[in-house]
Amino acid sequence: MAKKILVMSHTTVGSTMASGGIRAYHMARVLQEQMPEAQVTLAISRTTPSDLDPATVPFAFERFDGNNLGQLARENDVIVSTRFPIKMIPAARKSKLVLDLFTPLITEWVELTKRDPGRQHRRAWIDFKRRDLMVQMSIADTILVSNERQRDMILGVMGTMGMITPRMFETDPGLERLFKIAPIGIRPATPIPGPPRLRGVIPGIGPDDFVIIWNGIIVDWYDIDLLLRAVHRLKDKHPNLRLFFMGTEHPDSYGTKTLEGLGGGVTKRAIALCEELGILDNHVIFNFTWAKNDDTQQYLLESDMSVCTYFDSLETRYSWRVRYTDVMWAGLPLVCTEGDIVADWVHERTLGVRIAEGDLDALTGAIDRLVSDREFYARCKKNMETIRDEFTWEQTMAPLIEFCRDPSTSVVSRTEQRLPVATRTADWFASRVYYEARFGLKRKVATIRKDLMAKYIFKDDTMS
Amino acid sequence: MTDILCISLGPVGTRMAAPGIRAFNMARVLQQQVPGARVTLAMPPGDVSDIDPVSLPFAITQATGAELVRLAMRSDVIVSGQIPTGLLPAAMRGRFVLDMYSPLVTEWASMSRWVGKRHRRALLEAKRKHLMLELTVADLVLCANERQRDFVAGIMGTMGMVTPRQFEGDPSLRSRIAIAPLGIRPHEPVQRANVMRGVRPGFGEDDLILLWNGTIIEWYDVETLLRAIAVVSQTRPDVKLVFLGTSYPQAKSGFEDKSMGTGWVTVAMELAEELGILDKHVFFNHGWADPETTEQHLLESDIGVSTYYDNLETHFSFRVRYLDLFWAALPIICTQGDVVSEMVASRNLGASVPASDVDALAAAILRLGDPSARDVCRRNLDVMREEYRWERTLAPVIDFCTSPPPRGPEKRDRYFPLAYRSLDWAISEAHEKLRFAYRKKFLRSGYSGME
Repeated sequence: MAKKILVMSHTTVGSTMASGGIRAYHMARVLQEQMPEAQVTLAISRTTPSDLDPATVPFAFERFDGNNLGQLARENDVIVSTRFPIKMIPAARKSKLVLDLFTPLITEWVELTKRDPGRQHRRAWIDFKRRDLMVQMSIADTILVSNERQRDMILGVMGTMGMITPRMFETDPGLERLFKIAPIGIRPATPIPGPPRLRGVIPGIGPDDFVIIWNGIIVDWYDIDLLLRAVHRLKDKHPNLRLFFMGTEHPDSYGTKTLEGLGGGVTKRAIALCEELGILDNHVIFNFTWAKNDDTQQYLLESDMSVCTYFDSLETRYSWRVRYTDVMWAGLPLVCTEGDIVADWVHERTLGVRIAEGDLDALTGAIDRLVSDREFYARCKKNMETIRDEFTWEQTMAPLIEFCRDPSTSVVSRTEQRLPVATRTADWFASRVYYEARFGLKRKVATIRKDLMAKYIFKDDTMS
Repeated sequence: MTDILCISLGPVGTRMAAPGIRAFNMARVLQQQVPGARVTLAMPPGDVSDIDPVSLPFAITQATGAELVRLAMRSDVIVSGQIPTGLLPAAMRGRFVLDMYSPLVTEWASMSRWVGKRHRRALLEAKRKHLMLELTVADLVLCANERQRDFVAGIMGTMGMVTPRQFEGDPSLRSRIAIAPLGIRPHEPVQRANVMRGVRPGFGEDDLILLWNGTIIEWYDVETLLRAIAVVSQTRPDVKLVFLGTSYPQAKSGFEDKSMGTGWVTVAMELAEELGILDKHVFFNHGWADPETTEQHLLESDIGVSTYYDNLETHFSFRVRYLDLFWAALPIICTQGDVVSEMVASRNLGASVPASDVDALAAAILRLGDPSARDVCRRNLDVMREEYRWERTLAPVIDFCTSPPPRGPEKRDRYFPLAYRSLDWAISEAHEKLRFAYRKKFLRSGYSGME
């Protein structure tokens, strides 16, 4: 009987995709390609807008909602998702669940809620998310992570929860059947430059300039100040040096007032600093929208190197930045701050230069070296191009494919997990009730009140 | 004035193993480096005839029970690897440093193999809950390397012990979970009379001596090493492998055979015999070597070797034996998989080879058989050595003790989690004790009564 595999995405899949969507899309694609006998379905929520044309993709495309979740769960042998809706769990008794933890959620939540003014609300929200994650981990048959560090952290999580039983250790001492390392892969398109979209097109960037690309968003865990100061120091020595910020906003915050989305404040500060240093528009060029997929590829291929500077934090340590997979794809030498796993490779495999956090001299020196030392530049570029083949989606998703081929290799025992799943679900439910009662209702009442007032009292937009 | 209490879980004195050595040096370094510190080292009851309390810069005590609790209540900072339940109130009152330099969770899983399956699960459950209790109380958690730190960060995150406020103040969480590995012997190496070269039967002056400076237990892969030695001896007839010390000082006579090494020594000796290299190329020292003997062996050898399996235990470990190799600047041959093997490769301290690969290991031994190759490694190790002085490795603890205690209701936030984790632990502990431990004891006494 043909195997049925379901890949669920909680973010949109289509022409604009964030990392979650990209990942789900390529998982479905690679699974279908490598297992032609299987029936792979990609499902996104019914409420998520998407312009994906089901006829153009090699796999089946579905929408899920509360009504068909149970059916989907029963129909499929393997389900891959970053989160399994609680409703789905009872129906998924017979399916194997692959939990995709490609981002270290625990540190991410803290960063995401930074701007939440209500301290109590923030704590309750994080607490609720944490309990939800625990339910997810208890029901998973195998877990995908991006790198060894994440694995180590999640092992700590599961160890604390008592989910690593002696039996598991004995049958699988390396826990390789429980955790699988499957990072985000590189773009499948071949890196061949097309007609220019950067040089000679975007004002300020000429054909002979040395272009440093910042190929990602700007948010406050990046150290933009340092980079701008380095460019300022180098501008007299290398008058053709250009720093190009490919985008400033996150696609999810698109449509909100320009520069006011997630991380918008940082962009404003960066622009102010550029003006102060006198490098705005002549050495530093901002692109104020989120670059479309085709543009991104072309920008990367027309650039000379990439740079990324940030602050030391746990978030950095576990991260696997999508922007780096793009840098690998385009084969660009990279200058980056130490802290994550790619930074270590940059140093060990000479893909560019790794610098210490906040070290302006080192950053200036690194960029200067890549601009002036052609031999070093060529070596970095060559090394970066060899790393590309290690991170095709086919390679990175190999552990997932292997699992889908034989899901019985899972080391998790459903009978052993019965009690933990029950207690954790109860725990989750309790914190959900608390959260809804304390904040949800209040918020709902406030929204309804606001709607009513807008409708019947003020007929204009002043309330919004 | 800062009153600091360091609690040692193992014996202190000339026959110290890692827990004792660590507590001893912790006390020493804190006394020297923290201004106005008054350090007391508490150690388990036992023979202390070889310690001279007058020569020590800090106070020592063998207090137990109520006396230890009283002592702890008077301390501002308590440093310990585990904390007896009775000391929890004291740890909540003062500031508590949890010294988790070995990743217990994986260790328990492999070490408690001799008990029954259900009992083992209950035992691990109780231990795990006790650890969570300790982590709830801890103000600073120490681990030995970045990988352990990731593991602990996961634990603390799950427990909800990383509050947004704390994360914002220190996004790297280094002030809460710090890296403080073991340090090297504090004194400089001194050459004494030879114990091997030209002295021990079968040893020439210029032999290539490989040293296994530790015990042999189930985690180590001696087989691959012996086979590699057999291969190397074909081309280098002067190769010698010495096993220094084969049993653990704390090993209780009852368990000695199985859990702490001796059984594995017999297996290794049988294999060496079979390969025809025993007492020709492979030599076993029995018992636990005293410090002078150990040091002299280290200084006389050419290469320090350690082979094991590439598993999770290895992944998280920071093996104590490496520190002696750093101390003696002895080039290292080791199996890939742990943090040190990465340093060996990236900083050229010797050679790291894939697990269970006899040919690669033999090739590495032959490569480092060349004195000029060893000299390069030795120079790199001299640099490394300075980074592993106790004063350097324990720097986070020194910082913690010298910096003022954090303001605000940090500890108060933890009363509720502490209460329910105590309850949680008490239930598991009671379950384990009543269902397995006491029953076993009862049964045993019943049988002996019948005999």
